[in-house]
Amino acid sequence: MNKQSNTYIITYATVLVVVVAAVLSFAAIELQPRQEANVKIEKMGAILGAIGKGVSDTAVSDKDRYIEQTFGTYITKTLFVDSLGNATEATTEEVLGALNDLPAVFDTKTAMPVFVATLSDDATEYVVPLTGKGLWGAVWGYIALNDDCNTVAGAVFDHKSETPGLGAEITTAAFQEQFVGKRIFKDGRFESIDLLKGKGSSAGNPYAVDAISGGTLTSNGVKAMLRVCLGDYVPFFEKVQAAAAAAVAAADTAACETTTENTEGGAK
Amino acid sequence: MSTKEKEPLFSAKNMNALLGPLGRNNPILVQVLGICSALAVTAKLKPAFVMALSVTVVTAFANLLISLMRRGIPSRIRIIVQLVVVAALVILVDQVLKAFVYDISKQLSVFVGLIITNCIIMGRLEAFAMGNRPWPSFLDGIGNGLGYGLILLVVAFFRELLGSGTLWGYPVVPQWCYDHGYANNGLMILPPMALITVGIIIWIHRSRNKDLQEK
Amino acid sequence: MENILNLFVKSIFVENMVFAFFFGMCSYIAVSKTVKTAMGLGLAVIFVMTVTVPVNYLLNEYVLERGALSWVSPSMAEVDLSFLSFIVFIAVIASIVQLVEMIVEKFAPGLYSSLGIFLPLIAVNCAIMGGSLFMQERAYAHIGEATAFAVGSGIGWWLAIIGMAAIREKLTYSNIPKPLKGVGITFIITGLMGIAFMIFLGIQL
Repeated sequence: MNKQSNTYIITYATVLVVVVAAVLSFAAIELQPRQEANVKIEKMGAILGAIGKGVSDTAVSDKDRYIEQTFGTYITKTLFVDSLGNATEATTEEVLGALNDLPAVFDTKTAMPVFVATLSDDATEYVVPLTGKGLWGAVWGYIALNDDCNTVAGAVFDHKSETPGLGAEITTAAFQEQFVGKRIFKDGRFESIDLLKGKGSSAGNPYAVDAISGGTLTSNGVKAMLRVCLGDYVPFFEKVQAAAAAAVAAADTAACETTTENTEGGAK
Repeated sequence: MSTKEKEPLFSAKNMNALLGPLGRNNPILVQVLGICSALAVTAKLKPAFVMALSVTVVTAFANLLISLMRRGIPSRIRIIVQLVVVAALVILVDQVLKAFVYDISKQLSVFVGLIITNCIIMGRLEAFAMGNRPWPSFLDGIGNGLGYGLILLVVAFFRELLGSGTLWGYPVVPQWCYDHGYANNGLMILPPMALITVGIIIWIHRSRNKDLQEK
Repeated sequence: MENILNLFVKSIFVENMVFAFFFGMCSYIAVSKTVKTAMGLGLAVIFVMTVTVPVNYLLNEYVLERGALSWVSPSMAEVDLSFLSFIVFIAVIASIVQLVEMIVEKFAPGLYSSLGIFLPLIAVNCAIMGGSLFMQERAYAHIGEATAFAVGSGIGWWLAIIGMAAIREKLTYSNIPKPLKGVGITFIITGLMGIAFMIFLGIQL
């Protein structure tokens, strides 16, 4: 057979392409569930990290199962929130799915994910996702707020390709722990959390943390991400706060009424 | 081509194909192949190790497959056939990494894809696999992959140690050093220092192997 | 428009293919001995990059991505072919390089004799493949952005190799330690140039 003939070349190329395509499709289909599970587990792990229930790589033997179980235990409600702060309940699957394309979610602002975690009977935390741009590529994270929707309970950050050792330090516990206890509302107005240059420059400031030294542009990215993404949730936070205030007021009134009744009763 | 001479699996020639690239005939230091993408993953040891492993697997199997196919490949579409085989292998590696070591595959990101254009692979296919039997080609692929990985790990070792004070993610520089004013050298982590480190390694390699020096 | 300009400048200086990502190092080291050959390869890279990245962008957007095939029929919205992207990209690059080579040979023999020998080298130049992969990963909003990024990256690569070649021509007269001659010093100089280029980091237009 003439190896230089066009027929041979075309046949050869066709067979090669078909074989390669078959092998690759088979591998892709076989491995896809596993890959998707990995992506989901990673997101669930990060959310758990934000509420302080995350795991380190070595702590548990079967990390994936541990994450799924813990997630099921603590995350009791998953919501979609629109730009007016109206929340609709949705299944965990749907809300986790929305995390796959966060930039689009924050573009349309019609269904922004919120995870409600119940840590104990009276401790509820709201976890919201954040997304933005660092120096080289995407940065993202999750921030957990206490039930006052003001105090930060925890935060985790991750990135696509920030400089290792500099911008990439946003993934370290030392950076993330700074956020705990910070506040995002100042006198009832949304303030966000600032990242200030220099070690210790944010000491005593409830609205700021120390930026990463040597990672100014990544820090700016994180700062912008906090401002923009948390900003989108402000109507929702305010509603929660209003509801809480109303509940407190109602409880107060109820308490007052009972006392009045009692006094009256006593007067009689 | 059915010569009866049965070559032992690890004959001297085959061992040379396997071990040569680890030392004197290193693909990065001597042939200056395949530095392209790889250096970008050497800021830490762990991704460098996975990268080295991936490249070794791809080089070895690409060499094996092309060597098996070498009599059938029409010479006019040779390069494309080689690229398709390599690309298919790289996709497989990428899929496996994504499925089993997701954390590390995230760090490697686009650089896994760039194994396709890694000059070592194409270089070995052209220079060795097209003209040799499958078994020596396979060994040659492993040898070159490992030789390449070795440099990657050496570079990553120095960059992680000096740049982050850690090795494999574990801190190795004791705290009292920092207390006495030692600071990690942030420059080591930035891309340019990878090039300078390789330059220095070449310098050392060539001072020891004088015949490689350029006039 | 502003965004495109920003992207363009950024991909030349800040995210320079050579200094920030080491793309195309093989040919960069091999062909930077004289300015003349460096110029030829550099121009070829700009050209091939400018053609392949937009083509791959369209392929990615309308064939490969999850849901990209929904224009064929809504039932295909879930099809995700992105696992094929490496092979498609490299095939596009290799065939465009081949095509360009044939066209240039036929219609501009003068250009072919000066540029032609570099074209086959380009199919395996990481910078070209890297351009397409970065385009995919960074998910540019439209083809204008992808093209700006492609042209910018090409020019950035050209700039790097021209600079290097000019320095190497002068190096002939320097007294370099023997083991460092050639490749060794080239690496170190590239590193130093990379440090110099870092001053552009963080430029926002």
